[in-house]
Amino acid sequence: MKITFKKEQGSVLFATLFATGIICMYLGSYLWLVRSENQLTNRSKTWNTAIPVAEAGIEEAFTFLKLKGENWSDYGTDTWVTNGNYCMKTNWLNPNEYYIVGILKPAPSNSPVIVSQGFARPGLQTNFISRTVQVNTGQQALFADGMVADKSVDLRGNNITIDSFDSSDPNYSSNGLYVVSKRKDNGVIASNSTLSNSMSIGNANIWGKIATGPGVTLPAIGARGIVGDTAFHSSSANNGKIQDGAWRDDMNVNMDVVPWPGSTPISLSKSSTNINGTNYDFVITGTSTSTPTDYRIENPQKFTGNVLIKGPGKVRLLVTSDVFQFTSTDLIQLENGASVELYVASPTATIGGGGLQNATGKAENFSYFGLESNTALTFSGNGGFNGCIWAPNAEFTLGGGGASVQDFAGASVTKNVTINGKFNFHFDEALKTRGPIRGYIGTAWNELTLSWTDILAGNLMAEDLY
Amino acid sequence: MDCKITRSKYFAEGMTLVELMVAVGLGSLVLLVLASVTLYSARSFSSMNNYTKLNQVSRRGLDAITRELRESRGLVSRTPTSLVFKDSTGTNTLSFTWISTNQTLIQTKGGVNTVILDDCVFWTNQIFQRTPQSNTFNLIAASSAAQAKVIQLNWTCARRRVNTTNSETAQSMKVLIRKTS
Repeated sequence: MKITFKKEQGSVLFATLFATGIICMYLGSYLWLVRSENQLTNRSKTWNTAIPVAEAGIEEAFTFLKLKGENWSDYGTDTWVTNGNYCMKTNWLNPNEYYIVGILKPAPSNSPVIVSQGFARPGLQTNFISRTVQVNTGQQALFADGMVADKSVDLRGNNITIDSFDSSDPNYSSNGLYVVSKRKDNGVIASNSTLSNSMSIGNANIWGKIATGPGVTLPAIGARGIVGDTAFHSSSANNGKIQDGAWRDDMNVNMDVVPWPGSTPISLSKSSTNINGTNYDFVITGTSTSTPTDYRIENPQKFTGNVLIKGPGKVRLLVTSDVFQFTSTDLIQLENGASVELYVASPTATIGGGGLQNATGKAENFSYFGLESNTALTFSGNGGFNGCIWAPNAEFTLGGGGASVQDFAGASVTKNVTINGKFNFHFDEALKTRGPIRGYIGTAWNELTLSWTDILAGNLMAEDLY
Repeated sequence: MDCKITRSKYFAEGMTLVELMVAVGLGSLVLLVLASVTLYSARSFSSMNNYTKLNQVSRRGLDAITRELRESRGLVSRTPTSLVFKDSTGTNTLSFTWISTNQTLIQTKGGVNTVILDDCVFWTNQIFQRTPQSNTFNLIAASSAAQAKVIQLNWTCARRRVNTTNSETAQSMKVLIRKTS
């Protein structure tokens, strides 16, 4: 019997498997590295995305504040859920992004605090990444600067002075009235326009600053003009100069017409009422200090003659008549304790003669709001003015003061401004805090390590987060 | 009966010269391929590692810078290689300084220096004011630090590998300063 051995060869297979194993190991390592890198990049991108998501919540909160103000009893509406000290809302932007935003009720005399937590989810994952942002708010004053124009500012002639004071601070006013010895240097002249020569300073003396739209060249100034702070004004060598830093070219402010906010007003007719020896054509009375009394003067009535506005409450007056004219013998008199908001639809409004006599001395008690059709507002003659003007469609002209220099105390926002010499414009800085507001702005922005879960669990209040 | 264990007469030991030469040639070829694959893979790994590190550094730097800038209270001064801000408290300064010789970007906050980026071969900044150009989303360049509301940063990080330079033109970012004093 023959036993034969058959020799088996397996080295090629072994070598192939070995080589394949090496290649697979390399390939697998590559893919793992790429996968890890992709995950890290994705996570970083998602982490950064959480902030814009949180800020979407902040924008919604600001819109809600603008609509509701600080009327906390009205907060549980429009899908917002209120719980005493705060109200909250959850909103999904898309299946991978949402925010939880809340407005925390502040302590008295403080403003609301907004806390928004943005959530974002990396693709193909189930967990969300979140970041929380806190924004402290403050009321944005309607009159934050002195004299503001949407288009042009033209200061002509001589004896024009722009400065500021503070009717709420006895260090910078006398019984709430401007006195030159207590002037401040925050008078601002501003124009939104980006056209060259949109601001003409001439020989005006400006205790404060000027602002134009972007791209405008430095406004020209006359040989006797000067723009700067009090120290800059103290040297006559600075005549004809604008102080470094007193000019900015980033002015860009929305100036929307403020609409009539009232309900159906009481229609007024001209009559003759004698009070303390003066015949008044219109006697308008505010009956409540908490709720304004709404009146209307419409065609064929003319808003002219002597007008007396009496307290103790606030008056809102809508003027739609074609004629709004106060001549040299006419007078608008605001009694002590009274306040008035004029909403003017008349195409042209002229206040001359004695102008406005504001017995309260406070600019915030007399507000002139020019509506869409009000395209001209003129102060003429020898009348001063103590109030604030918001008429973004109106050409505002301060006529020459005749033999004497007239005073305008308050603030103005109009389409154009022309001053024909002999006018002093004193910006009342108290309007920033006591005047009308146009909404809320953020005064502080901080990223928190807290989440809404922590805030709710700890029952944190607004003052805990200041 | 005796059993005799024999081998097939056709069993051959050893190799012929031709077989040897073919085997050596094929083996060399295979080993060459393996060596090439190994060498290439090693270099690719090294490059990939480089890019990964550069990416991570840039990403960390971006996250750190955006967080600080958003909370700052305004730009104090600017040069082509440095930015100085008021920090979130408004009392101290926060600065970012690029040192070209060291190729590092250093953050100084409260007197403490922190390296935000290294291997940074290029760094530049631009500042913009808050007003956009008409009918566009582009911003207008700020003429002074006081007007700055948006900061744009561009940088490039690069790292050498053997005799080759890997570079990562990593980031271009615009950050809005949320609060100004």
